Amino acid sequence: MRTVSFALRERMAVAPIEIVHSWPLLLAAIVLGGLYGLPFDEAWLERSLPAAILLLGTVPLGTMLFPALLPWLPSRAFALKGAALGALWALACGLAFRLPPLATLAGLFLAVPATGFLALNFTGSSTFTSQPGALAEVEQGFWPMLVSLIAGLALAAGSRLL
Amino acid sequence: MNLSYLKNGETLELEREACVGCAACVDVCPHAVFEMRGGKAEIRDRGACMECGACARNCPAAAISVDPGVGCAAAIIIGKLRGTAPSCGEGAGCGGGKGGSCC
Repeated sequence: MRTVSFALRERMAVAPIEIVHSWPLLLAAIVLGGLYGLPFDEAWLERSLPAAILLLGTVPLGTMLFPALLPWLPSRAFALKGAALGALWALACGLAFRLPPLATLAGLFLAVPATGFLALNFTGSSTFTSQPGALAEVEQGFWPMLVSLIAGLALAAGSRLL
Repeated sequence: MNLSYLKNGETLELEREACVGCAACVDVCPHAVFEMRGGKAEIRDRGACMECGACARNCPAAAISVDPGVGCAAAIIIGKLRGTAPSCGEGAGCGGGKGGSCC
């Protein structure tokens, strides 16, 4: 009998390819971070940098930290495991950068679906997930993730305009 | 360590009467889903099945059926958008777009 394992070293061996595939998210994070800091004045970088770090951080979180912590994260659903990481990250960034509550909430609504999706995508790399399970997660998670993203963008815009 | 997942083994079926007792499924299954009992294979742990299809492919009596497929979210979403089976897309390094199973 030849059984497979999915130890830390094996999980981290497949993680880099997930980062490579995440370039659209990285690009979106940079663009959104830049937009959040508008208008272009002397404080642009000061406003953009925390937003960009919060958003960019979701990629290593969802592609590296998630597989590293996979067995210990709560829930059997990959998307929920990832979402938990994203929520903690957004709250940590909000505290570290002393973001206004509305901006922190925007970060939460953006980070949760980002890390949730990246984590869900890791079902393709794992040695113990099945397609019906991944399909169920996509079907149940797609619209909540999309709504969360839109809400996050609206809240981010609101936090800058209000 | 908690390495269990949702809905595992849902499409796995074993026709025990057709089993010839070769134990190939026990040998090839990466998660020890099968065991031999009374000279025939039996499903021991359906929840551990990742539906890779190795058992069905190696069963000489075609007593096992399972629906293996691409399992990453991006492939599933691409498949849904195209109205096809989950696929990593044309040119993907994992055989997507040709009905291949990779992820």
